[in-house]
Amino acid sequence: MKADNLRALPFLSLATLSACSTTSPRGSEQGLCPPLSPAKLSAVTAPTQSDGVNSIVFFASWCSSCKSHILEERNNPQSIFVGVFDLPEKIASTAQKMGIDNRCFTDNGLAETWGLMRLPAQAHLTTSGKWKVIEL
Amino acid sequence: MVNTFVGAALLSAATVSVFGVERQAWACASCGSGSAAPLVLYPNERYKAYVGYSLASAFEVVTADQKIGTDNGPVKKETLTLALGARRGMFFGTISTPLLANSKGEEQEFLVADPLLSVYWVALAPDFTEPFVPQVQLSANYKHSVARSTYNSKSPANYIDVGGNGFNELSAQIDSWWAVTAYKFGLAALGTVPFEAEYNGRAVNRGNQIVTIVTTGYGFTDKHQVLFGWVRSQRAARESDGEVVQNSDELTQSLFLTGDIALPEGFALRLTMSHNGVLSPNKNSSRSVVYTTALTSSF
Repeated sequence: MKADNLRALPFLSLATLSACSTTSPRGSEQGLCPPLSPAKLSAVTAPTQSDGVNSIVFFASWCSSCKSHILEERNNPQSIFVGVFDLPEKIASTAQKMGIDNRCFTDNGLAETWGLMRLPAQAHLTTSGKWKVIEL
Repeated sequence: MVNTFVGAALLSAATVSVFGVERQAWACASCGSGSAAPLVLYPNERYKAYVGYSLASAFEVVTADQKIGTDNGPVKKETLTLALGARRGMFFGTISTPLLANSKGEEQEFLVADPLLSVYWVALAPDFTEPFVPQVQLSANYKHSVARSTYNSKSPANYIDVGGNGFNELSAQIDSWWAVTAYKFGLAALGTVPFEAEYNGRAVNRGNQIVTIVTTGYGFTDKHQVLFGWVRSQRAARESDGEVVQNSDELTQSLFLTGDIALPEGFALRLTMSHNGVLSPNKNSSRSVVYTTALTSSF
């Protein structure tokens, strides 16, 4: 590579800097959606109660088709929302904007335990008390 | 379902001649409107494999004075591109290797073309609550020249053994992509710096290249979308033993049309037709029509 060829690099550096400057995390919104692990799931969902949680909606801020599923389930008091494959601050920010921040969690092993690989996805509590995950 | 088409558009075969490597890609949250590599990974994908088949034909050359002439090279170029990718957080890397079959009349030559190593950083992820904020993705790529080029071809009469441009290359790219809504729009720019190489006792330096890509499209559902784009590739004049070869700069303007279909179980299909050099002006360039079928699978 010749020295003259390096003339192209400033263009690329500028492009990089301009992109980086827009990526500051929303630190103040962190913590709105607490971590949810498989071990803590039963405590959160209280499956023994008839009016307990029977639906888990998985979402990510980058998943545009997750939006309609959130809107469908937002008025269902028996649904909770778990952000996956995403940054915690993005999950919290999305939950706040969608009005689900009081029932929002950040995935902490559920997706891996249940083999969840794609979005949108939803888990339903079966009559036998087990969760069934459906990738929509 | 398979992943959503939040973003999309790594255009594809438009680049067979533009970058010297084929680059079909995929529509996704972590992709953008253009890429040097054929494969990009969604935020939820740890590993991904890619198989793409391209058929290029109708070759013509465009001279320095912008006249269209007959191409004496292969009349048909088939490419099988294999790629693998792995993701960790906001970074992912891919490696791809094209396998080529050049044909002309009774003659056919199989060869391995130049492999490409790419590293991506998703600087700004898409967000469906902020549809006017684009996804921004940066990448760095290294292409290693292993195939014969026009500089060292053993078949100068028809270049049937040529599979690359003969230079190792470093490139970097910025890609912005608005695709949260049904209407998609993308802008991408890629800069390439070739390494100097020696051919026939001369130090040859291919000029730097800038590729600009504008993409627009529409998502009918989150499983189906169509993309249309314009690719403008400009390369500076080459140098031989430090002397600029006059009138050797290159310009190619291409159009492409892509259809994406998300399939069950993490598979995805992309079909692309590109017409390279179809828009004027072009200079020291080649024209061709390329059809590409690509299948990806995440695991």
